[in-house]
Amino acid sequence: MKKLFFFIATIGAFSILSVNVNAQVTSNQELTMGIPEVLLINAVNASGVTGAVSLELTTTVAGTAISGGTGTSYAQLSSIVTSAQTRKMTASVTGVPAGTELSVATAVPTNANFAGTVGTGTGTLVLGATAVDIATGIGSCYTGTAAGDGYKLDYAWDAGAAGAYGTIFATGATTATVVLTLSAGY
Amino acid sequence: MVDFKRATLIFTVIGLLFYMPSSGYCQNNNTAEIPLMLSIPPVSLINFAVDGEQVITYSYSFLEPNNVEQVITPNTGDNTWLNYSSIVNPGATNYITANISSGSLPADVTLRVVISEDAGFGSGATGTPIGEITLSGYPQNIIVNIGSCFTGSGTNRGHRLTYIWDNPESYNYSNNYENGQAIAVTYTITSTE
Repeated sequence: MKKLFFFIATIGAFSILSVNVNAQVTSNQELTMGIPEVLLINAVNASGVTGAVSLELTTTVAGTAISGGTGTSYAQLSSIVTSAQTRKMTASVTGVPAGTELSVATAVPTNANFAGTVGTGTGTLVLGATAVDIATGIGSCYTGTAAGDGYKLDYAWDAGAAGAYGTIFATGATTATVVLTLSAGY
Repeated sequence: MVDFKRATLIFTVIGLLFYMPSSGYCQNNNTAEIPLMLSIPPVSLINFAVDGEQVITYSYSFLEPNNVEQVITPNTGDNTWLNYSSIVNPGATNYITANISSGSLPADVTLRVVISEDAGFGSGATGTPIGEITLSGYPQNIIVNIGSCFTGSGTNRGHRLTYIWDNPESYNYSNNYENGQAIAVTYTITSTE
């Protein structure tokens, strides 16, 4: 009797398992995945906030030219490119006082907050009304948004061409505007 | 009632279409501006550069960098160079004066100074030298119409000063120097403002 009961129970168990195995079905869920191109840029000062950068041009030694107008800002960006595409960042400036010259040296991010292909920064370039490349080879990347994150832009403001020194005049505070542009790709 | 629902649906769809970014498939805010506040304060700095072989004392103060004082002797000669830096406001110029600021000359002794043209090692609107003046206790212009400029720093830079003594044998420099009564000349740079 016991053997008969065990036999029937075993058959029943296999039957249930068989039913369960047969009950497993597969289903495919299609995911449409898209990553749009992204080109976002923001400019912040050394404190990590949007605001003016102050530069002063002067001298304390008789006989020497005014010099030493230096300041730093950061370009923070997010970039997603299509395959085989890179971007570049350009800069131009308006409002620089006569007889003086503004130049910028660009360094790509180096701290721990960036990721991706940040490209290459250029050396010191004189800025003018016509945009010049200050970083090239930018791929998909992000820089971070904290203070000190991003492409470091070191400004040097000095007397310009020697012949134009006489056109310099004292000024309390005049505003020049640097425009950064992240290209759509090339 | 049915018409109201349909109209609501149509307006909602139209509203959503207008609200969507025009690019539709690209997040784009690709320019940023950085304002730079640029300032250039007025500058009027003056100093001497003296040939090292000459024993000439002079004083310069960082607190008053717009004037310098030089103790001179009948042997001072032409080994002093006046260096300056100048940044002016629009419509203004700087000028340099000279006067005897210490000591007194015997009645039969006169002291003249000849101011040369700028040596040309700097840049900008360097001033116009008056040429030659007879020094006295009252400040007299020696270089005028100084705009924004710099002369360079050191000997052979800026304007050369040549001192000429008339009847110098009447002036006992050593005696006066020991008594703290040596002749000193002060040069001051001032704005016309």
